[in-house]
Amino acid sequence: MSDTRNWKPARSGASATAEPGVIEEAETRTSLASPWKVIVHDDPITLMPFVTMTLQKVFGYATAKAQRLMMEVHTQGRSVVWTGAREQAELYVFKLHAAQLRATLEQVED
Amino acid sequence: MQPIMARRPDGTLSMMCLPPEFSAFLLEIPSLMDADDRPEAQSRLYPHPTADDDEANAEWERMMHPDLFHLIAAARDIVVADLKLLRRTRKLPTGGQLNIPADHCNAWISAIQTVRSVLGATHGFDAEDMEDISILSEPGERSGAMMRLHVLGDVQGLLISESQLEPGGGSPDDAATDDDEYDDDDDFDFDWIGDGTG
Repeated sequence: MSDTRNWKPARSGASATAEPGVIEEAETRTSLASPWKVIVHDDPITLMPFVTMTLQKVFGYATAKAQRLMMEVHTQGRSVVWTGAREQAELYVFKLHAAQLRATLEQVED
Repeated sequence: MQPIMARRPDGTLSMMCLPPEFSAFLLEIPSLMDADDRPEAQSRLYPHPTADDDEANAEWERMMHPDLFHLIAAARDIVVADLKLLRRTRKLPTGGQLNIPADHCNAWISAIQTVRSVLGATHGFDAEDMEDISILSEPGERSGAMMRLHVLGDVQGLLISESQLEPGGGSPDDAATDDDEYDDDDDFDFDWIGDGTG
């Protein structure tokens, strides 16, 4: 698994222990780090059309792309469905969790 | 009794002539969404974003899980409201009736996904189990859970297809494929009436 040591939900902002108005160094460091992957994992309970529909809704993918990614999840156990900035990746993972798809974040290895 | 489904001009899906046992499955949905006291189901409904970063996962739990809880509760509230008609009609000789307004369809799809996730996690069903029809005749809770998974999967698949129809009827979106995991080979196939949705 790739490095997740610097990860914190972006929505949390500075850590709870920080003084008001103080932005910790880690915040800046993380934002400049390599991009993050959103990964969907296979789940035998979930219907294929549901996965396709969810990928279309969350990412706005065309049907063909959503189906290709869904089949990748189904046949390979997981699929990287999006890569990019951390905050957006977190939002996508939250939306996938809200749809009850199994999804995780991983930082792209340097 | 053969269930009938129709789509009204306003987009409402109307299911009629529902057999009592089928109505019972639908009426169970709100209670089956409850994952309390079942750690496996709790973990499935409220997952972590990383496999091995305990600190990050704890932060995510604190920040995100309350929102997930509210989303699940909101879907359940909609389903509970829609089930009132079925609760009143389920014992009629003509069968039960359920109306799902068009803007409730996503809540139903989501609620059924919650139930299927809870059942799958609670009973530890894997891909092999999902293909094993002998589980349906096993004694104990697993057979009942598997039956609910299949029946509610059929309903969810139907609702997904319906949600992708153009307003007022039309051809289904091509999102559904020949590889769909669900099939309609069960005892609750719907006859269609109405305009262009058959």
